[in-house]
Amino acid sequence: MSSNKIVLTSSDGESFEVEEVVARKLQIVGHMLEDDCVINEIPLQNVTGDILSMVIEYCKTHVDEEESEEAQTKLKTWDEEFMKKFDIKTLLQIILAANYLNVKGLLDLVSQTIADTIKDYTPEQIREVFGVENDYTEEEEAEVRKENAWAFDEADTPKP
Amino acid sequence: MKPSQRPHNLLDITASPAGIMAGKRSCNINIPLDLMVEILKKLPAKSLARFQCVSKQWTSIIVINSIVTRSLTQPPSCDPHFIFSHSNSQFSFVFSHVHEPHQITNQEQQLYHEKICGKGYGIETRFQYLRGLVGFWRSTYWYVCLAKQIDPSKNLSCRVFTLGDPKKKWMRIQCGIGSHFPLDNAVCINGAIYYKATKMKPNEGSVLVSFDVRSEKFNHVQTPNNMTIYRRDYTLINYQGKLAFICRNKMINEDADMWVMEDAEKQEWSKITFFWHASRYNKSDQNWGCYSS
Repeated sequence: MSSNKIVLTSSDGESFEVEEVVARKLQIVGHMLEDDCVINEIPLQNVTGDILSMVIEYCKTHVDEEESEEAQTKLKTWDEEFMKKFDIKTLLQIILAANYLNVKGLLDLVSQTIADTIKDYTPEQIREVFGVENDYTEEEEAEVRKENAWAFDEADTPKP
Repeated sequence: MKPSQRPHNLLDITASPAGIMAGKRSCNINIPLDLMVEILKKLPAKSLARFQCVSKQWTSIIVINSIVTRSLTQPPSCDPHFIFSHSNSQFSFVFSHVHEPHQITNQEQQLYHEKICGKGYGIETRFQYLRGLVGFWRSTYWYVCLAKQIDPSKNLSCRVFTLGDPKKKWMRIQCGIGSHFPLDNAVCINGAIYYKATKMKPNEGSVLVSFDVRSEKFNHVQTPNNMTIYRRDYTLINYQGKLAFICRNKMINEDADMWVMEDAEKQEWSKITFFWHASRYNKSDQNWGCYSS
């Protein structure tokens, strides 16, 4: 495998020099390299440096995915530890970046992590994190809550 | 050379036409709908029920996308929640509603469908179609077609079709357990299709047959204590990932027994009896209809 280096530049001007095999884990880069093999600097306009560095960290770890069960288990443990570092806001930025840069494995990993993180959220917490405007009237909301009362823990159930 | 533009942008939350999850407040991150659906799909049913209280828009996303949830107690899987086939003399279609469809050709209904039989699909017309069974293991689906040749002296012929296979080829498989006539009510558990069948002779009672989609082998399934079960008297179900059937209690006709195959290898069964106040209903023609997902 060639050890050709590629420079990835984030939207805020931070540059990362990575090996071509790592850069190719970002499918968006892979496609560009296929189109024109002489590029060695690639601007990535939709991702900031701090997020890009995390995506690169993931890609470096996953660059040679071995088939053996032992290697797979090790990677899985690494994935879990890696994801533990991030709060929900960062996870959402990573999922956007993984989608834009087209890193399938990271996309699966981070969407599962987000689901595991938000599964016990209250509707209020969801509104805050995702910036959703509550378009129910008070009566409508009470009705929907009543219909789905089983899904609320007792503490969250509105008092009559 | 510039990177290709995607419809959403980390910095500019107004940039995304797909971003109907967008917040009003600029500090929030705009997650495009397709990503949001991917996240929601991974949530248990309880969370989705609760999140219907977030907003009307969230409710419509959860409902319109028919997000199939993993159950609260089971690990995520690719098993379909329902699957059915439609056939006539000209063609056969298979439909399913799955977590990760191979391809969705009917966007509105979120159903996978694939034409598997008909002109150019390699199944000869001189076969009389008996029954099609759908089985799955992990994310691969098989359609097993049991057919017999029009000549009655000839044996049952079995073909298997792997859904999503670009070659669209029917594979011939050996039946191995002799002629039998497959009946309705099949269930698929852990890659094995279980179905009721009758031997070709009348009054012989029905048999339970399994077909393992991985090994492509047919097997007889021993009934509990080798009891004889008649075709209309029991219903096969998937009970918490195990094969089970519900039938009338032999002693008290109003009660129902559910036999659960605890160990598929050893074919060991356990029994649960339900006290069923069937006397309130018309007893003359009880049909043991039962549905599970």
